[in-house]
Amino acid sequence: MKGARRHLTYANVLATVTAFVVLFGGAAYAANQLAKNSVGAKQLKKNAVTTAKIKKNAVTTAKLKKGAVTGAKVKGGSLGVADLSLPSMPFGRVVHRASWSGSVQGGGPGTPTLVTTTSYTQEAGSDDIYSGSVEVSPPPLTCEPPRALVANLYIDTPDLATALGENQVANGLFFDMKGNRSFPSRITLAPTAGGVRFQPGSPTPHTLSLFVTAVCKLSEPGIIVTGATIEVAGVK
Amino acid sequence: MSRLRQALTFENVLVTVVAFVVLAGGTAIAANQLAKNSVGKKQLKAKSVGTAELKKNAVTTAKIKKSAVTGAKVKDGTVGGPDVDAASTSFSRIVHEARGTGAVAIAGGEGRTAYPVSPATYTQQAGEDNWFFGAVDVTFEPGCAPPRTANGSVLVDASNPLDFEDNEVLARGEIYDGAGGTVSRRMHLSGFPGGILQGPAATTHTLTLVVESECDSGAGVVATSGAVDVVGAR
Repeated sequence: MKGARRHLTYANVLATVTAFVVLFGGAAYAANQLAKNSVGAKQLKKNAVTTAKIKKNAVTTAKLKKGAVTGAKVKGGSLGVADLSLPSMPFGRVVHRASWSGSVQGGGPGTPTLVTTTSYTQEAGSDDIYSGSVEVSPPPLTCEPPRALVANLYIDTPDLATALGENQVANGLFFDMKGNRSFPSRITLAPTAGGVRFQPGSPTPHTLSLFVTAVCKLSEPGIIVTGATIEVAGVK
Repeated sequence: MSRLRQALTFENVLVTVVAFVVLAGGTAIAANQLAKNSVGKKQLKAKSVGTAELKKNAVTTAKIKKSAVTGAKVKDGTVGGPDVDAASTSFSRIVHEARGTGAVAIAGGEGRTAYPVSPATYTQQAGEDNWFFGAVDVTFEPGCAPPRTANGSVLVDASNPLDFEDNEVLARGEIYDGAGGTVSRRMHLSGFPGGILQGPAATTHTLTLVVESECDSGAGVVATSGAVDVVGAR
């Protein structure tokens, strides 16, 4: 006991206390009172930044390495059309759609009636095909069966008098031979052979014109058209 | 006072100085000079890493959890064609392009000429419907009197392309000229009858582009380029 008291000097006590503080308390104290910006990449252990440590919305575009987001990282089925840059997609899709409503009577043979026109630009590298529809309303009593309506879609033809077969890109027929067809009815215009416009090297503007021709048993006036759609599908 | 002087030994002074340095300065040093790899996940507070704490390009593929990125996180309109593995999708698209350039005189009357396009063979994938489009750039020369026409056909697996059957034609088109002189036009080919339905196994096909011409009298129709696109949809 006497021996122990002899070692209980100021220096020994202070040194022992200091050692304790440094070894056990000091480090903790230091960790809880870190100076601002004192923890950098070097101080961080590998894998120290776990999901829970990352603030919501902290990972912005600039933090993502180029190419970091692979398909496997994208949740299946979560990408929608709004996420896509459609013009750059190498897929077929409707690239132009035009609708018309009104009332026109189909002209007789040799005098087709212009229903509507629409313009669009064909993208470079896109094969474009054409389709459409025509709504047919109940014909006037003067148009007796057998009766028919022919709908033709022309491309880049300002004047039908000079139109060529190759300008006709889609067509559709409506027949009512016995007067038993129900109205209103719809004619579908399907692409013709050669009706594609093969991919151009640069964007090319086109104008599409929809004409209808009606044939009744006796004479005109012919079948009435009340609506139409024109669609262009482009495939890359 | 003399007792104090007695205690003022070298040992005591040194220990006191060391204690001050360690307790007062040492803490500061520790705070500013944390040892390498000393901060682990236990030391980091939850949500302590914000945008500013993350280095540019720090988030690599391995750091992103599978399926972590949803459509809502993707900026609208930013996913482009090169980002998509087109072959893995079920959308319709051009799956093969055959091209040819160079002037080739087209036989008139009953004659037919094969315009060379390359690659002429392609493989239709299992479960894929194919249909065909094409184009031929044609020049009518003055020696070919109007009215004059040229027509083209895309043949698939034709056993004798210059004497083909209608069922071997998958696309067709025709142009007409009534004006005369030198006229250059593009002939577009499509839908006749349209396509080849999907098969259970991958199948190799051979494409042939055949062009014919007709002048009222004389001759002189030249094809200057030809192209065939195969569109596939699953």
